[in-house]
Amino acid sequence: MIFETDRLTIRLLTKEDADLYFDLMGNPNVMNLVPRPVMSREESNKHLLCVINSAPDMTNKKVWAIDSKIDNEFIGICAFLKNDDHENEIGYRLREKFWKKGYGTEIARGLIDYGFKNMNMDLITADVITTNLGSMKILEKFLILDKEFFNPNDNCTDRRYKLDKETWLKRF
Amino acid sequence: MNDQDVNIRPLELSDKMALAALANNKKVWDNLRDSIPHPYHEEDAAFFINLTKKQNPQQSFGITYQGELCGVISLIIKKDVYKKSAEIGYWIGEPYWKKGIAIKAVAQITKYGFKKLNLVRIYAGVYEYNIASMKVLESNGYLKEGIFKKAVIKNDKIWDEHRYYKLNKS
Repeated sequence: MIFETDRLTIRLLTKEDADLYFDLMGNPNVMNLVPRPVMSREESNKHLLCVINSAPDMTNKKVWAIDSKIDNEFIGICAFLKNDDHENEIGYRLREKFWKKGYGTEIARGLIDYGFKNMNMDLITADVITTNLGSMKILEKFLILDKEFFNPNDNCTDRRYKLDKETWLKRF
Repeated sequence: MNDQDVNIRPLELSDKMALAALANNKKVWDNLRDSIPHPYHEEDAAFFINLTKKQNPQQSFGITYQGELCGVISLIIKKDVYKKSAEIGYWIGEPYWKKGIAIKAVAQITKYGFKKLNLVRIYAGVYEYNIASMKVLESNGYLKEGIFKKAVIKNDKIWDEHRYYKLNKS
């Protein structure tokens, strides 16, 4: 286990996650909000394998599994990555059947806390496409809007939110 | 492990992400030449794959274990008067270590080098600390030809290079 919140456990991904990983990566309702192309089963398996095979100390992208403590089910993934300005960025994707239960807020809060307290980060950012109103609502609970900008990689308009360690520790 | 578990095959651009995930590892890079990038990005993988696609005859292959890409193996054919010789080089991604994969991959490419490429000699240079790789070569009938004393500088330290060879018996 990497860390936990009230209702969630965050752990490393394994090959046993393949079925539910595809339930996530193969769902257009999930992927359109990232936005990234919907994956085929084969692409999803390959993607999962790459995440598992990445050397933990080398990669600047850490992708972890989120399990629900209540029903012990894989509900999605969360990640620390670097944005195009090499700043720490958080991300998360939840399976559709686990939406609208407050899990997004819980994992965002968990990632921010873990990043500042355990990964020695000074600044955490998050990028979100402006059509993803649900995620914007989540991020605005904790982070501060920095800018709205065109994201040429994904060909969409994004908002970037930021939060520094000092502000976080003062608030919580 | 079944014999069919390990195969070598040409690399495809669709291997880019998997190749980068495995190659982007200091423990792998420590045993390789400095010309291999570190850190290793997907663009590096794409560059390498495109390079191997231009080879004629094919000299570099992906190694698969139970269908999953797990490493790379090459025979670099030498030029001029050395053109009947090739240098063998290979690496296995860390999650696939200690399964005997390299032994089988070296066996397959050695056979390819002697039967298909009609090489007379295949040789390898191994850094003194890479005992696992020496065992892989010895398991395949490669003989130690000598030790090139202080031939290598890697991670700012000087190392001996152990040289192995195998000859085409036919």
